[in-house]
Amino acid sequence: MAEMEEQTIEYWRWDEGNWKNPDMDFKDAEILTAGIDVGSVSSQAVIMADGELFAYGNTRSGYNSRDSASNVMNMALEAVPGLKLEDIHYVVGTGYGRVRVPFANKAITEIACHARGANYMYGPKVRTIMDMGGQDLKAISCDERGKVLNFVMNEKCAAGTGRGMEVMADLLKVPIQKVGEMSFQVEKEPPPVSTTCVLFAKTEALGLLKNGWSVPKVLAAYCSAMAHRIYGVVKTVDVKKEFVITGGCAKNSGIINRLEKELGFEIYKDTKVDTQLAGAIGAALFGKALYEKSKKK
Amino acid sequence: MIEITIDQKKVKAEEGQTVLQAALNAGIYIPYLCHHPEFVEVKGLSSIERVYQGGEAKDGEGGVPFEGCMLCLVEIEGQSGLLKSCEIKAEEGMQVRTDTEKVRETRQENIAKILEQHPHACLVCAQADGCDQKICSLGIPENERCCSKYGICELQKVAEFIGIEKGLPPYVPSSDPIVDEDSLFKRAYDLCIGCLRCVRVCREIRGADALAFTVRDGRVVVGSNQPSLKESGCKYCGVCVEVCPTGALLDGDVRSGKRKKSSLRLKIKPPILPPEQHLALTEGNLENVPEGEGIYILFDEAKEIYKISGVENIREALLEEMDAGSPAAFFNYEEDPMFTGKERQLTQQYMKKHGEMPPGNSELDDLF
Repeated sequence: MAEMEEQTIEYWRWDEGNWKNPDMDFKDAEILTAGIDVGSVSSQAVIMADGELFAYGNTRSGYNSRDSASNVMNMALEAVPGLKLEDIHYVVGTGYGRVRVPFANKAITEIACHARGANYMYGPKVRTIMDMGGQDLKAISCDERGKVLNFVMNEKCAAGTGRGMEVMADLLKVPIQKVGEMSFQVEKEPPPVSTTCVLFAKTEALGLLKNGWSVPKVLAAYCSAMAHRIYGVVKTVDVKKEFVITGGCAKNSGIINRLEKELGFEIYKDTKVDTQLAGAIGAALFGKALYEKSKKK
Repeated sequence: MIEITIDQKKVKAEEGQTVLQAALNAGIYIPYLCHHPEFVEVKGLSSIERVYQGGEAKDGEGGVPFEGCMLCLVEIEGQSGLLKSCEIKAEEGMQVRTDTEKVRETRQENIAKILEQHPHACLVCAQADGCDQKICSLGIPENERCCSKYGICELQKVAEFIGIEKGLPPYVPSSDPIVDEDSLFKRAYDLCIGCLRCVRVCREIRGADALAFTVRDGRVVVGSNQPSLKESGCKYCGVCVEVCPTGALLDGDVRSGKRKKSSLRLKIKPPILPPEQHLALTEGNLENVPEGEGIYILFDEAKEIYKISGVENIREALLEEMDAGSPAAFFNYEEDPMFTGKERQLTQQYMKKHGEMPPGNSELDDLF
């Protein structure tokens, strides 16, 4: 009898990978730029050809930002046979470890890059951006060009961030991609968990399960508390209806739908681009402008 | 004009000026909370027997003279003990010391007494950097945490200058009311530190005399002299809000502790705040700047913040700024390995005060 292989499922592991636009060839492009967003949890490398999304890599960040930057850049390049780093005209680094991208021509703050990226992904109508990142939350107010007018950021509390969600997915043994869908498999929306602190929420979740709550019900309660917490942060900037969410957590319908209820309106979700790429896209676009500027001199 | 010496520096003073006024005019900072640049003479203030906080009457002792914040203390040669520089008139040849060990310690004791009776948890929190103040990861109740003025609060700046002692007991919430029946003003009496600036400015500058204080259990309690502001003679000019060093008096319709900008408001001088370091942007000064990770702040000629930036190499970045012909005249820096976070924190503080990004931070403007 064949031995059963032990499978260790990592519920918190979201999809990493790379991609190339099948309709584009890098040899046709005049200007190739790259944006590298090294975050505390995930890193992205985006390659733009003449300002259009051409290829990207998305992976978990390591403890060394320089290595994370190199790894994710290689990942993006691997998606494009024949393309080498030397072919890229300008590289801009951003994110938590933004200035530690060794091969970047310039570093630009992630707030500016996120706003610019959101502008590309959703169009000039965007005015309010909520970036739900791996370990922080940012609420950004921008103008029609994607320029930052105001922002509020939280770096001290994991509630409402990707990390918080990873912890809950792991605890409840639900693949993180399924969290949103599952949180709606309830008859009636339960009250939110009483604490937003991820550590205490873990304990509370276990207690609820013991009391007979189903996993979807616990997920719903947690997502509800997160949506409320995020709403509290967003309110500090000038919230406009032209509202979008970037970052990995934007893929979690469990939080997004509940946040829309608190906002009282629907946010724009009309982008075909992976929401985790906003920062790197913005960086690559700044790279194009900087390259063009340097050519004029 | 007479001449006195403060910390071995010769200072000119006008006849009749207090030591505090002479020092501040000469650019020497002595911390204070109950004084204000608009107050010219030291006027004795005494308590009355009843004041009103909204509809609530507060009864106490009348006729008790106001002691003051006890922060402007100095040592004067030839006189024993510590003296209040806001009361002592400058005299020719006076030798004043503002920086002795005794002065520093006593100021710290006195600011601790003020802070103990005022919600201050955020000021002593080790996790304050990067906290958005919406949720407290340490579970401290909202009424013990700093109010919406955190980051732009005068009491905070003065306390940080003097030094907050370790082991400061936590604030015990009081039952003082929050009055916002007048939609124009929000008065949070649990935040009042009893500096009496509002009482004095209402009386001396506006001439309305709508506010007063009483003394209950040794504590100064401020309120209006009649149950409602209107009955008390309030002219709704808002100078009390302008001078309040805490979040106790706020404009009712302005968010997050900012003061209302209105051309109808009586214009008064701003208080003089603890000095921030401003180094002239020269190659000589840059030689002492470390080449490590951290943030730098650029100031213009008027010492207003021009740009805030977090970098891997502070000295190199500042040299680049100089080479690029930055319009900045002064700079300051702080080493910090988490420089991206620090940059964001300082930028947010700036935006809270000014409502927009620092002018020099718009270097990306031509990239859109």
